[in-house]
Formats: sequence, C-alpha cells, structure tokens
Amino acid sequence: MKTSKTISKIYGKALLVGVVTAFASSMVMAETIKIGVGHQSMCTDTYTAGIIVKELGLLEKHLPKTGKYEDVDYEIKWSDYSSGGPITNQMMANKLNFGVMGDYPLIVNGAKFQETKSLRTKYVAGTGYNLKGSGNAVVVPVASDVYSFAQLKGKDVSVPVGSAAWGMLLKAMQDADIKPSEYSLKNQSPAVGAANIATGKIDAHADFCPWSEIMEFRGTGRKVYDGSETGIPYLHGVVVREDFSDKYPEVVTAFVKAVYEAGEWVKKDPMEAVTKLEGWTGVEKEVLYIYFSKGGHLTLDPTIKPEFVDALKFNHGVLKREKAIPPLDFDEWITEDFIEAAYKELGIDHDAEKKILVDPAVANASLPNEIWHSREGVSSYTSLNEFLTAVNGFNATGAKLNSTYVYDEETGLKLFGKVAFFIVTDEGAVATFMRKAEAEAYAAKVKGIVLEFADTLVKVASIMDGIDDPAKVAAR
Amino acid sequence: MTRKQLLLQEITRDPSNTLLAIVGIPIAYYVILMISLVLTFENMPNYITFYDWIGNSAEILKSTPALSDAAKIISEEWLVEIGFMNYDYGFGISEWSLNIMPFKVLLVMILSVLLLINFRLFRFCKRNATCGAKKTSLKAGIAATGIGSVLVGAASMTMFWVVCCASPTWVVGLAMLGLVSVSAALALDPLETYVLLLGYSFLIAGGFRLLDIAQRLASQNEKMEMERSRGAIEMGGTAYA
Repeated sequence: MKTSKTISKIYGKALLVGVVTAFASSMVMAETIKIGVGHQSMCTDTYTAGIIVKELGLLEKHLPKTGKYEDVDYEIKWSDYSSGGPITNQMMANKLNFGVMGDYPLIVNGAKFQETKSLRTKYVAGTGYNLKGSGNAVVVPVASDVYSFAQLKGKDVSVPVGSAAWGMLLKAMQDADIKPSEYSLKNQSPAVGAANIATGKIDAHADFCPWSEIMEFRGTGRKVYDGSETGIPYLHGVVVREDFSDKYPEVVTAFVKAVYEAGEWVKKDPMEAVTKLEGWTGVEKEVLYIYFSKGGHLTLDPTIKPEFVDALKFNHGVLKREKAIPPLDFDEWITEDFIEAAYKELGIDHDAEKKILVDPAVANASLPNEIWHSREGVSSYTSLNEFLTAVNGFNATGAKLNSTYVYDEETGLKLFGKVAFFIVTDEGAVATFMRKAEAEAYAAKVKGIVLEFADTLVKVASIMDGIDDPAKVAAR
Repeated sequence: MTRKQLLLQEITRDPSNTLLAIVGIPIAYYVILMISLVLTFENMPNYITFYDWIGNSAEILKSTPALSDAAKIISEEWLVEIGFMNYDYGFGISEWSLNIMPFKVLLVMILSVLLLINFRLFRFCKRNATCGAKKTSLKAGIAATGIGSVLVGAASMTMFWVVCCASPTWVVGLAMLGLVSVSAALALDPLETYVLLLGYSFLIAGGFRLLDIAQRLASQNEKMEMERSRGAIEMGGTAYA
C-alpha cells in the first residue's frame, strides 16, 4: 500500500515537472516567420527585388532582430517563375508572401486579389523603370525585309498574351492605325517566340525584357519597334499579401531596404554585377549589360512616382478593354508607407528621390560608345570614329570582342553596335540609330548614307586611311 | 418498370465496369490532352513535379478568411505538373505543362458517370428499339450527350502555357491547341462556370431523353410479354377445354 502511494507521488511529481517544462518551453519557443518570395530570373527588371537580394543575402541582412522580432527565426523561401501569373496564383494560396513582376502582371495581381472577399495585396515598391517604355520591343527575323512597324500590316505577330509586351503591342497597333483584322495575333511564349524568330517561322514577335536583346545578341532578330515609342513608362515592382504586411510591417520595410541596396550594388560596379548575374540566371552578361550599365535601359529606383501610377492605370484600361481583368482600386492597392519607412531607416531623402525621373534621351546624350573586349573588359570612346577605328584595330589583331554598344540618336537608348544603323558622311560616322526609317531621314538631312555595322567599319577605315575605295580596305 | 427502377438497374449494372469507367475516362482524358500538347508543340515532356495538395489546401483554409475564397483557390491547386522545359535560355524555362488539379479531376469523374449512364441507357434502347421513329429520338439524346461531353471536357482542361500572366484556365488550353483565337479566349475566360453548367445540363438532358425512351421501350416490352403470356395461357386454356 505504502509502495503504491510512493509510486503515485513520484508519478505525480514527474507529471507536474513535465507539464511545467512543456509550458515553459512553449513560452520560450521562438516564433518562425516564413517568408516566401516569388521572382523571375528570366526577367531582368525584377532582379533587384529577386535574384540579387537572394544571392547577396540582403533580406537576411535587413530583417528586424529586435523588439517583437528578438526571438524570431526566419525561414525564407525563394521561388523562381517564368512569368508573373503563377506568382499571383501562389500568393493567393499563401505559399508566397511577396511577388516581383512587371506592370501588367502587377495589376492583374492587385485586381485578382481585390476580386476576392477576404484577400488583398499591396503594391509596396518598384524595382526599376524605363521612362519611355523601353524593355518591351517587337523583333523580326534578322533577314526580314520588314524595317518599320507599319509593314506589319497583314503579317503574323506573336506575343505572350497578358504580358507587358502584349499591352505595348496593342497600343502600338492602335497608334499605327492597324486594325485587329489587319494582322494575325498569335499567343506565344518568349522561348518559342525567340525560336520562331531564329528559324523565320513568324513574321514578328513582341516580347519583354530581355528577350529582344537576347535575340539581337544571338544575331537572330532585329528590333523594328521599341517600347519607348509608346511613351508609356515600363516598370516592375513588388506586391505583398496584406495579411502579411499587417502582421509583420517591419519585415516588409526590410524587404524594401534590400531592394534599394540591391540597386546600389549594381550601380557601384555594373560589370561585376552582370558577370555575377550571368552565373545566377544563365542570361548572357553582354545582354544584361545593356540593362544594368550606365546608360542602360533600366533605371533602378524603388520609389513609386505619380507617372508610374498613371501608367499602371493606363495598362489596367488596356486589359479592361480586352475583358481580361476585374476592377482595381488603385488607392487601396498602392501604399508608400513601407518605402518611406525604409528610406527613413536608410537615411535617404525619399521625396527627393521620388522627384527624379531619368529620360534616356537626355541622360545618355553624351555617354561614350563602348567595346567589350573578352580579356581586357570594357573600353569607352567619346566619338563614333574612334570607336569604329578601335573595333577595326581589335578585329585586325584577331581579338575576340564580346560586344559593342552605341546609343540611338532618337531615343538615347543603348544598342548593340552590330544591330545599329550608322550614318556615314565624308567625315566618317556621325550618328547611330535603332530604326532604319529615322536613320534614312537623318542621313538625308546631313547628306550621308545609311550603313550597317560591318559596312560602316569598312567605310570608316577607308575614310580614316584616306583610301577612296572601301573594297581595298576590306581586302586589306 | 418505372424510370427510377430502370435508372437504378442501369447504374448498378456491372459495378466493376462502372468503377473502371470512372477511373478510366479521366485517365484517357488526360492522356489525350498530353498527346495533343506533344503534337501541338512537337516536343516530349521532360519534367514532372508533384505538389503537396493536401498540405497546401490546409494552408489555404487556414490563411483565407472567407470560405468562398478558400474554395475557389483550392479548386485551382495543382497536384501534378508534367511539362516541357526549354533549356535554350537561362537555366530553363517551362514552356508548357499539363496540370492535374484534383477539383478538375472530380469534374471529369462526374462527366464519366453521366457518360456511362447515358451510354448504358443508349445500349438498352438500341437493344430494344424496333422502329425508325424511336431511332430519331435516340439521336437527340446522343447529340445532347456529345455536346455536353465536349463542353465539360473543354471547360475542364488544365494546360499551362508560359505566356506571361496566363494561368491554367480552360481557355488557355483552347488557345494552346489552336481551337480559339487569342481575343476569343480572353472573351470566353469568365464563362468557365457557365460552360460547365451548360455541359452538365446537356448531359443530364440527354440522359433524361434516353431514359424516357428506355422506359417507354421497357413498358412496351413488358406489355408485349404480358400479352404473349396471356395469349399462351389462353391458348393453353383452350387446349385443356
């Protein structure tokens, strides 16, 4: 009897100790905050909120670790997608908290969430932009006889429907007064579109960044229309689930700080950035350089400017006309709270940065042309003749040139030298253009001729050497 | 025999065959979709991904305040993704895929059940039909079943095409296979539920039509049987008399 009482007492004490221990351990058990980020490693303009933040560990660096976050553990999951649509689906299923995508998918995201009774997202920051809309473009096979957008009347044009490039194409067709019945629109993925351009299976393909430049760099495609002609800014940004931002606002602020720092990392050393990005994404560094170098297509800036909100509203109107989107309350959707908090914590003047708008036509006016030597890196040349002479010099030694870059006289956009149209006068090359029609108009004005890159090299060499016959220079 | 008795008789006939149809028709449906994709894009699938559908659905239920929202989101959850990854660009870009979504599988299973019932009723009618008029009526039932199957089959497609913003809705599948134009696909997109309901309505209407004919034929046969039996009894009576 006594023995059984003793055993009961021991069991009782053990139970009490167990319960107390379990309670105590549950009290001190750290909360784990799961952060899911959906990004796109095949979309250059998302990199400063995606792959760069991931690879440099910038989110981890800025995540809050004091106050209510003192005992918190973070579990960050990065998911790479080919487009913005699946990111929205995954955000709806709460597998992702943050989504990084382009303008059209962004507004689809906001509208799809607002269509539900109980879920919302917030547009919290941008990643980068091109003020005039460059990044989207229409490309034709390199051997095509199509040189202007108007020539696409009666042709087959493919585009990833629902993308920013699709919106651009619709607007461009409207601007050019080409009715939907006057061209055949095909829905095509970027990779298939690029493959069809390479094999000449389609007359033209419209796509978003960096697909047009990939086709140009690989020598399969040539731009006949650049998104900058629409004059509508092309931008990318970050959306976050509202329930997450309400619960962990400091984490969202940390994410925006990481986006800002990623942009600064690129600006500090674009060459290092594109070299690393090539390793992280598989996209050629020479293609990335056209986006991320000084004078590149992309202005890295997370602020949300009024012009961008107007552009998003315009894009929503395009989708609405195509019956492809529910309504979107922009005032409810867009918030600057997190970006203001992030800039404040970083000691940066948000209002001042918000006012800055970079127009490539102005900002790139005096930038030098560049040659990317495979071993020696990038060298700059203030005049076109110096640049072309240097290319001739490198070619004469058999040096491997990764790429060359010039600027479009009209828009200020950075171009691959090999796809530009050069205006050559008796003094040598005087200007470069992206489109043939504008090049011809300029050539008529300055009494010059329009040449492609290879012919320009020969012609300029003959002028520089004082030889009249370019054929002799070519033969030499 | 009443309609209800006839319907029950046809539903409960050969349970193993019924089970085979309920499982087999959805499998055949997805195999056909996959073959269509392979033929359309001229490349074989080279990747397969499995998803934690149960875990994901539980998370959706937990994190979505409105049950109606949760149900809609769960209905679009993936279980399996089989597709083609293009490695020519970057580290690979998934160009197209066929997605198995349990909710859509359920819709195809319902289609299978309705198809099976209609098929059995049709077979019953065919066995018992004797005159041309009945055959014409049968055609209406078959046509309704066919139209219904096509509509439900189309609205249950779950193919994904890597075009920015496209999600695996039914019209993506139609556009991928070149069955509708891009603008028609966008215009049709919000009509998924209506197309489904219309499809099921056709199937059910076709079933009722076939059931109606089957029941009339069964009654006629019963009547004929009874008359034959009565005749036989009468003949027997005469003989005895």
